[in-house]
Amino acid sequence: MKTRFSVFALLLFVAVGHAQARAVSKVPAQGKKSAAEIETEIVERNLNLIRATTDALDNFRYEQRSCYDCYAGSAGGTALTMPDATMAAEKKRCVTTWSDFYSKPEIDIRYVFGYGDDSDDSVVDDTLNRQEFVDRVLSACDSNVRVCGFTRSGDDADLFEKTVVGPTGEKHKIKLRLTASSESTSDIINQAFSQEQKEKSDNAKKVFFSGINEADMLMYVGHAREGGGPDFSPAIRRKVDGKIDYEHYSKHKPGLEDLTTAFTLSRKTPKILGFLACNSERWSDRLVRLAPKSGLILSSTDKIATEAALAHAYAALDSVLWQRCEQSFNGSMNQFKTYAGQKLEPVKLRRFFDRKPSP
Amino acid sequence: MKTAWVSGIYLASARTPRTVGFAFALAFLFQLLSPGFSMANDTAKFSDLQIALDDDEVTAGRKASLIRSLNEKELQAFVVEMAKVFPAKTSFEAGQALRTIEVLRRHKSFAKPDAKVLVTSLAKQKAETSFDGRIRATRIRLMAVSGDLNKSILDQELSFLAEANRPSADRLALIGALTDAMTELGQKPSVETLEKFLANDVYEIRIHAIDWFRLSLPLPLADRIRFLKTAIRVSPFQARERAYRALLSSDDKEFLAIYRAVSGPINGSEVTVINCALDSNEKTRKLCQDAEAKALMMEKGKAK
Repeated sequence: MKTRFSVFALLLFVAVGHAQARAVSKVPAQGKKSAAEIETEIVERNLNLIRATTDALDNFRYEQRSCYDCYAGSAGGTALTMPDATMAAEKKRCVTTWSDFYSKPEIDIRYVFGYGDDSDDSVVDDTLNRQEFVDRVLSACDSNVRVCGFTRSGDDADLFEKTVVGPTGEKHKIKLRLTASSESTSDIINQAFSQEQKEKSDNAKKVFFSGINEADMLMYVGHAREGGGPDFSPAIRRKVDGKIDYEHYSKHKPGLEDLTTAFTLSRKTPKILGFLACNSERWSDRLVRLAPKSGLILSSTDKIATEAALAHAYAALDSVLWQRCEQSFNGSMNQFKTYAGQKLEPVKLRRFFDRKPSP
Repeated sequence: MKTAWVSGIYLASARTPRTVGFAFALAFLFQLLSPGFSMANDTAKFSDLQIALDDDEVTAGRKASLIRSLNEKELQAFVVEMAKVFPAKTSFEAGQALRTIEVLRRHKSFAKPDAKVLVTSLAKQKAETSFDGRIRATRIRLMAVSGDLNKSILDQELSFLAEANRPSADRLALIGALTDAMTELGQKPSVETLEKFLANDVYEIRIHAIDWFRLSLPLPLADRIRFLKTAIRVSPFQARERAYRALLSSDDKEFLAIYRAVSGPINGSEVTVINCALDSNEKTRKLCQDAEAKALMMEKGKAK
């Protein structure tokens, strides 16, 4: 009996202790915080990661204010006056790469948001994700973040412009196109206007695929459809339960096949090409073959949260506008190591700084 | 909760009736204190079913299925637990809850009282979180079920859409929710309200206004003319594109009357006849020409 009571007391103790631990964990930590704690707090206190990323990028640039080899356009020094030979070589490589990127008066950058549906939720979110970007690019330039101060085209909702000074001191007009795939933020409108939705999807697809030939930087932010993406249309669903038919996507790979055809027919490819989707790294070999001259931004996180993909996309744009050198570019995209308890695999811009300049 | 029942059963194996009674009384007490509800085949805690932001599709799908399988009573208990999340201390917690509410909202037994509980609870959430727009949007969708979407609330939310200092992403989330909520209730926005949206600083709200107008059809002929007169001249071209489509989809009987009223001068002093050739966008120029050609053809047909 004594033993039985001890076991019960132990169970009671564990249960009460567990309840107390839950209560204690809600009390915010006091005192000084480490860098990791700050990161955790940013992530946990801001569901909207893209807005939190603005703070992180602001701080990132501030902390690198005296870094001579971090920016091709920085006034802190020239390759010849660098304190260290390796650093000077790195800076020279960086300036050469960005001089090539900024070799035209107008720079064509396109971000296309894939159709943001879900098996269990009728709300489609690519329109809202795009709108977060719209808010960022139209915001006032009052921090160390360069994704700001764009002017919206008077007659095209998707087009934004900004003048930047390139690494050689010349001015360039950035023409940024932000295109969503879904018609509306209203479920009912999306379901009611199927013809309009089809046209919207066709337009997003056209902007993306024509960008293979025309854009300097081309980014896809959206679903990977189990390797069968990119996808700009509502998902094909199973008749039996209405869930997304992933078997179809992984077997037929419709988006990837379209992509392969488009790359095969194209005369040139973007200088930077990005796919921020779940494990887009799986397309790496194919993309290297199809676009050997393109710098690649791919994600190797298996199930990446949309917010995290957006944060990567946002940081990549900031880095292009800053003309960040390789290490700094990659650092900017990896401000967060985890999000919502999920480990985020590092994202890198690969092959870009090793490209041969355009003829 | 399982711990409580296990300890109860364990103590019940003692032989004295007093111990057995004591054991089950304690277990019952634990049951009352635990935020769990029994389901058909298993027991689950609230936290087991709440969909987390980082849940992958399989996990979220499994939880959604479990939520959908709750019976009416279990659903009510779940809603009560859900309501306790608000006010959430962080927008992270709030956003996590919104994902679950989306599934709850679609439950076949989700009824007016459940929606009321959640509406009251969401109202406790302060507007300072970075997810304000989506919280407002969810609240509006719930209000459509709870019956709380009255004129004063609608006016308040419609005025939020005009606040230029609010993030446009939040405003766009809200207008989508308002469209869904009002449509579900069989309500339509007034043509004056839709016209105001055409002048909104956010391009996407102007574009949305035209979709909402089309969703609200049929409307009286005078209202259609009034709205399309403005819509067909508005920027960006993506808005005009939709306006032309709305015009072209008009009933054949009314098309000519609408086209003439919309494309002609608005008032005597100002010549505002639409000249398709002057439209800077290829797409809208073509749609404009299509409308013009259709009108000419219909006029010729009439003349015969």
